[in-house]
Amino acid sequence: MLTATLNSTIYDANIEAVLLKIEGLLLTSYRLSRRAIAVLLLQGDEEIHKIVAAQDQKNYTHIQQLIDQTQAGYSESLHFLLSLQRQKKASFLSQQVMSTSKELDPSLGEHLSRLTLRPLTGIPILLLVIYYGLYQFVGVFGAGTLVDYLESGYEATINPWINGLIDSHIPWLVMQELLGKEYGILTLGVRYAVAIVLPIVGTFFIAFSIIEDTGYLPRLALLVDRVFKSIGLNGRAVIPMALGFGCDTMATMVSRTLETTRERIIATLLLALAIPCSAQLGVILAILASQPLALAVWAGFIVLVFLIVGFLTARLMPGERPSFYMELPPMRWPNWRNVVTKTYTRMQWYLLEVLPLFVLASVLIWLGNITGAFQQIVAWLEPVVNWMGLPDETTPAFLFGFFRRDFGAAGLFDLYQTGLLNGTQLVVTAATLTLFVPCIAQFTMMIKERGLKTALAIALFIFPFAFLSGYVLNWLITITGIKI
Amino acid sequence: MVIFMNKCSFCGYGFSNEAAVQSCGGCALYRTCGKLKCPRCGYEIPKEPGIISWYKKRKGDRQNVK
Amino acid sequence: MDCCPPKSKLTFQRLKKALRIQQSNEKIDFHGQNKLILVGTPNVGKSVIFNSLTGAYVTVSNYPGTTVEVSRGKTRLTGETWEVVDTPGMYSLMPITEEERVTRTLLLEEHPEIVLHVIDAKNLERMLNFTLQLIEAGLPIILVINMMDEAERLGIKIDFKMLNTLLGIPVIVTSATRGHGLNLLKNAISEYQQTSSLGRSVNQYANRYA
Repeated sequence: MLTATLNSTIYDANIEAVLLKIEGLLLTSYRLSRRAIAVLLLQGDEEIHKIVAAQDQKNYTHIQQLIDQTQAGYSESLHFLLSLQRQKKASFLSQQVMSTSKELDPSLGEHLSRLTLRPLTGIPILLLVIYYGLYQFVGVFGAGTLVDYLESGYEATINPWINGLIDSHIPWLVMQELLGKEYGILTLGVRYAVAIVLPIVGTFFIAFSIIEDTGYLPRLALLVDRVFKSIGLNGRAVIPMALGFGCDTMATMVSRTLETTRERIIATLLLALAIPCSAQLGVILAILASQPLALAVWAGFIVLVFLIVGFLTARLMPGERPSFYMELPPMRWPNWRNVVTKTYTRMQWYLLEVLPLFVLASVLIWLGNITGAFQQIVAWLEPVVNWMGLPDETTPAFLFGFFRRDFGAAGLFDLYQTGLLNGTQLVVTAATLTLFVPCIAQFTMMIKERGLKTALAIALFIFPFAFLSGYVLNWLITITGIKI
Repeated sequence: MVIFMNKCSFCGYGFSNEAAVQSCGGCALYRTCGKLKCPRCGYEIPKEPGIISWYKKRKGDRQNVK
Repeated sequence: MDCCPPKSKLTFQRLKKALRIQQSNEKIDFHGQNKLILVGTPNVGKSVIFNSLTGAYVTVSNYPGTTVEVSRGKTRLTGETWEVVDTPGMYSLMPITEEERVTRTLLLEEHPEIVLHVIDAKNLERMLNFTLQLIEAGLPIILVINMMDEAERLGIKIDFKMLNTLLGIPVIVTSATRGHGLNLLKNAISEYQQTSSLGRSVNQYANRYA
């Protein structure tokens, strides 16, 4: 009763035949059955390939030929194909032995889950989530109400108080400017962090944690993946990383799978352009929320960029795990304790990253101010900024943005509040900022991964490219006459 | 023996801190980025801050080995 | 091998060694006691089964040369001592994560007498994929369908005798948290041991020649 007689074949006739042939060519005895080795070879298992290449040197090239020939006969990767066929067999077997009683009502959770996955219902659901969760809560409430309150409070009470203290206690102008006045640590750096970025990011994290806790995210990933697949792109790998706090996404994705240095450089470059860092994007998104049309244009622009990334990943990283591998955890009501914990965790993480950087930025600007370098750079940059249809005052915001995008976004917000920018200009600045290299930390990573020269080269490409895109976007908006 | 497991909030995969380290590969920001990377799906979650671990321990909220 | 960080270079060498067999099909290093390895995806109740088999003296240690943790314990079945090993979650014989890579190497290096594939009754369809791979590989498998109570609550019924006929391997249904089916499992383990020592090849796929 214990002899295993799997009484039918698992794969299609073609594949079964090739498997037999490969088994015949495997002269060494392996501890796994020859057939399993053959299957793993066809599926492209790296380790097994290396072993067989070493052990069965004589026949390895022949085996490789067989594999290539077989792959040529199919449009999908063998990896995917074999898993799929095996899964079909598994489904067939399980159907023969499993029965479910008819009277069972699918629980609300399963029903909802299915709704989120099908594009027809899933996309509207996604739009709803985005509208209420992000737009209303983060954008209108967070960036609008909260920031207004905090910012005006800060500017009305704290700034004057600090400047007063500085005036009376600190004699040197230089020192005064470090701590206060226009670009000081306390009047600019900390203000940006606490009055602008913090409320926005805080509300963003709350909304995100709630959504995350319901278990919606993997379903979103599968939905986007489905849509991507229908236009021939590959969204699979990008999504968990993008939705997570995938700052370091780039290096990991790239270094792991690409072969030639050239490919890696190209990929690093293109990914550096487009890599979403959800926290920073959240800030920009919230800022744009006050102008729905601006938001729509920006979003369309970003989606375009995303598609390009998807296209690239499809081209550069073939051979994916088949779609059914992901176990979807069941959907559930968000648990307030989890939400609080997660929000707190994220905020602490974010602030610890951001505050020091903002302070550092203020110091650097202060240094730049003293040496006059700051004014110099601003002078150089102004024409470029004007060329994009933006007023001079936007230049500092871009300088901030070189350093870190959310810092630039905060500066942008400041400007918008004072009415210096109209809708179009807002979108153009936001879009350009989004295209910058995500942040200093990421830049450091590029240096480590690709070396200083390459990293600099990439950065030197990206910034002009971003400005160029801003120009193009501005031109497009003016041409089409859209009033924002 | 009791070992602390993290649960990926994206795919539900349970993994230990060591496993997360592995999935970081040779990333330059390892140790300074303050995040854990799920080995299964690549989703990154911020590491739990000390206060929360302390609070959980007080409540006796521990997970056993898989 | 610029893909793999240094640690997995070590396990790769071991995988290589573990895959090789010498001429005869006898067990070369008889390790003095029988070994049982549990495999399966996470959250199927492997640890409950592991605990119900083993008892007090369990060690959790890193698989040598890696940072992957493995639990080992002992159990006594019909007068024989078995070493029981619990592994990290594994979805397929083709590994994605480091842990899966190590588990695969472990499976081969330790050449167990029996491998228990533990699956969730609610997800039979998806998990059978891996079972098929394990059967294909010629490993001595017993399929353990766990969490049956939860499946029954959803109205799912599984004809395990039929599955046993179709797959050709022993199929045991359990609800480990309730203690159901564990004795049956222990019996199956003992019985398997006896018959497999008679005939070397219990699996049509083990070392098939052209």
